[in-house]
Parts: sequence; C-alpha cells; structure tokens
Amino acid sequence: MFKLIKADLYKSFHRMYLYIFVAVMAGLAILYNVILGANGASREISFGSSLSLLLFPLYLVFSFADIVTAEENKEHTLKNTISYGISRSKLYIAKNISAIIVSGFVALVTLAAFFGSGYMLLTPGAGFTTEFLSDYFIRISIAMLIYIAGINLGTMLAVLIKKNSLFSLCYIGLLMFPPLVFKLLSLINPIFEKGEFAMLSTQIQVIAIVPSSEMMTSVWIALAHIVVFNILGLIFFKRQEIN
Amino acid sequence: MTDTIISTRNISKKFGNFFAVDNINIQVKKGEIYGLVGKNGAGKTTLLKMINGLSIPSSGSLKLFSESSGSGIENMRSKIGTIIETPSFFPYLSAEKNLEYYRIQRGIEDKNCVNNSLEFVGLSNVGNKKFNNFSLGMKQRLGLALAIMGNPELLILDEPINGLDPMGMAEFREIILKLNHKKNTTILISSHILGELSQIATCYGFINKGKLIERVSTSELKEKCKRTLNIKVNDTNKASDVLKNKLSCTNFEISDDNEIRTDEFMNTPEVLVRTLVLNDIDVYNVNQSGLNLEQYFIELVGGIHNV
Repeated sequence: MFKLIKADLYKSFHRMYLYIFVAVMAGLAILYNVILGANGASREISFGSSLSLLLFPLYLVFSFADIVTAEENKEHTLKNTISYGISRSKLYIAKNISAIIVSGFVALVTLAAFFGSGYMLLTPGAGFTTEFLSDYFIRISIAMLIYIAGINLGTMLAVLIKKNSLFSLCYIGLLMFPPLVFKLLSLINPIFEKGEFAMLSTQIQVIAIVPSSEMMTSVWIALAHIVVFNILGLIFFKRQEIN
Repeated sequence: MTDTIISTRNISKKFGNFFAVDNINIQVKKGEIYGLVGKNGAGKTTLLKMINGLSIPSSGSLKLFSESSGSGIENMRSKIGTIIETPSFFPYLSAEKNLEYYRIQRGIEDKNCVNNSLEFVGLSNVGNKKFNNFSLGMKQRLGLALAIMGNPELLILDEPINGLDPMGMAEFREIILKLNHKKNTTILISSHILGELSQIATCYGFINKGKLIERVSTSELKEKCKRTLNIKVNDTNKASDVLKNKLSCTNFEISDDNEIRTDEFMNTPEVLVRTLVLNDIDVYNVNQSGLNLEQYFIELVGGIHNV
C-alpha cells in the first residue's frame, strides 16, 4: 500500500497543475486578508468570517480525486497497474489516501498563507483570544473531515464515471441538489429536514454556526459518508472492466 | 518450476447476450511465442484482458504459473509484462518519469531498471520530452519498455506493432526474439500483421467469433501450408492410374474440380505433364500453390468474406 501511495505522490508532485492550484489558493487567502486589512478589519473578523467560506473548498476538493484517480480513466493508465496484479482494494484505498495527502499539502500551504498574511497585515481585535483560536481550529478540523468525505465521493465518482467533464458535473450536482430536494420534500413532511441536515454541503455550513457542543454530530455524519463512499466505491471498482 | 505458463479452462466473457469469448481453452508453454490470430472483434483482446485481470470472466477458470486461486493469480501477474491495445501513460511526464512512477508502484528496488528498459527499446536519448509529444512508434516502444521492466517471465502483447513503420516493425521483431532467445521469456502476442507474426511465433491459436478454432505449432502449420503442384486434367481416374503406375507417385490427392494435387515433382513438373499427355490425358492447367499464414487463416474461417 505504501508504495502505491508513494508512486501517486511522485506523479502528483511532478505535475505543474498542482503547483498552480496551490498558488491560486494561497493567493486568494492572502487577497482576502489584504482586502479586509484595507477596510480596517481585525484578525478576529478575518478568521471568524472565513468560516462562512468553508463551502467553497468543498466544491474544489474533487480536483484531488481528479488528479489522483479520474485522470487514470482519462489516460487509460489503470491497465498498467491492474495487469501487474496489484489488488484492486489496496489500489482504491491507496488512491483515496494519496488524494487526501495531496489535498492536505494544498490545505497546509493555503492555511499558512492565510494565517501568515493575517498575522502580518491585521490587528488582533478584542476577541482574538486563545479560546477563540481553539474553537476556530476545532471547526476547521471538522471541516477537513467533511472535505475528506468530499474526496471520497470524488474518488467513487471517478471510478463510476469515465468522462471527466461528467464526473465533475456529477460531483457538484450531488453536493447541490440532494439538499434542495430534501428541502422541498420537507415542505410536505418535516422528517425530510433530517435528510437535508445529513448532507455534506449542509454540514459544512452548519459547523460555522453550531455551538461547540453540537459539533460531534457533524463528525459522525462526515465519518458515515466516508464509510459509505468507500464501501460503494470499492464494490464498483472490484467489478469494473478496465480499458 | 512449471511448464505451462497460461492455462484457461472454458473461459468465457459475455456482454448481454453476446459471447465475446466463448469457452476458450488455451495453453501457453514456457519459452513459446504464441501467436493469437483472429479478425477484429474475434475476442483476442477480451481474452488477453481476462488473463491480465482487466476484465472479469463470466465463467471458466484461469491458471497462471500453475496458480488458480484469486490471490495466487494476482501474485503471479507480477511476473507478467503487458501491452494491451495502445500503450497509455501520463502525458505530462517524460518516458523516464513515467517508468519511475511504475517502478515505485511495483516496488522494484533496482533503480537502474528504468534506464535499462529505455536503453533496451532505444528510448534512452529522449530526455525530458513529454509522453504526449511522442510519435506512435515511440509510444509503442515505451509500452514495451514498461512491459519488460523487472524482467518478466511472460509477455502479453496485444497488437504491439500497430502503427509502426517497416523499420520499427523489424526492430520490434528483433527485440521480441532477443527476449525469447536470451531470457527465455514466454510471449503471447496477438497481431493483425500476420506476415510479421509468422516470423516470430512458434505456435498459433486461431480465434473466430469468440472460439478458439485451432491451435497449431509452426511445424504443423508449415505442413498444412506446404507448397503443392496442381494439375487440372480431363480424367482424374486415369491420371491417378498413370501417377501410380508410370511415375510411382502415391502422395497426391484429387479435388472435386478435376484437379490433382501433389507435393512431388515440384522441381520437375514437365516430367509429370509429359507423362500424362503421352498417356492420352488432357492437361488444362498446371500451377504451384502454397499458403502463407494469412491465406491459411482466411481458409480456416471460411473465405475472405468471413474475415
């Protein structure tokens, strides 16, 4: 498994696209603080308001499943790996872990740019305390878990859908439309509100506002998504014809 | 140590109601160059994909290096180098980086194997040129470089010379023969270019409509395709008497269209013709014929319209 992950990281980190992606994300993080700084906002406002933007990366994390898994479908390179007798289960899990590691690298650089620029450009603000930071990092950590579920959804779709454009559309569609459907259904029966609440795109917005005591629900929901997407993805991948 | 490298038993692949591969039993022995011959859609690629684990058989069983369990077969596949259809690699990586990716993935410790493979196929001088800028010939060579990386005991090559120019084909042939002769690599190869295949294969499997219709060794094929003298006459009964009694020739056959075929008198047809004519037999036509692999295959599947 380790060698499969190592090989995927070797490939991903030899790709210009990844570095452009990192540069754009880090640039946006810095720009955010520059704009807030120009308007006299404090670090507390910057960090606090950034939680309302957590939905945005959820729509982007499928790129990591794309870099690691979907491109193998596009380039038909999976046959080189499978024909060597590498276990499909191990390969699927390794692809997911690799995508998570690559996304972790992007997240690390982006957060470093965000915090670095925040500390350099902005004043702390009255509420910028240790408690504030601790609460902030807990919410960010749960968001990471939801992003991992997003990557797992992306990998599952990459296995199911061969066409790259369709794969990304399906990913975005699956994040956007089920909550809307549940919302509409809840007008008929309020029980469907629970369905809407269990969606990843709902949860990523919930963790910005929910009290700390209720955050564990989001953790369980993210973990449940991770388990379901991995099991389904593995079942599909094990039966898949490789071209 | 096993003598049979690949063995399938009634292996089949069904897509809906269509059998792409229908109960095929195939045995490939160590050191053989097994040529798989069949028209487009005959089931060659599907069969090779099932052997490689890229396609899951609908029924039947497979043995690789005498292993028949799922995990055993999976382990044995690390002894196989493969080119299935067009070689595919990551377009933004160079030849060396592409092979390095697979070296890491396969856990091959010898880092020199990448350069050795590239050198073996004549790609050691392409530098940092990206795969998407490669010509078709270069792509085929890189496919072969990956296939031979790590010294596989078995090579499975599906149409490996498609798109190569005559020089490329000759070089490819040399590489295949070198691997077979020097490293005793067993090779299972499918190709449409039967002229090329006939120069390297030691045995053949003919596939038509998903079924293996015949397996022959090179010597058996040679016997079946051997050259004959064909004489069209007015009276085959009388001619056969003359052949037997006057020329002591017993090795001949008579076809329905008043034609006698023999592999004797190939170098002295005039003696045969003169004797027949002197015995009051009208000779309408004399010609020599023999089949090459392509003609043999066409005859086997029932004529050009079935190819």
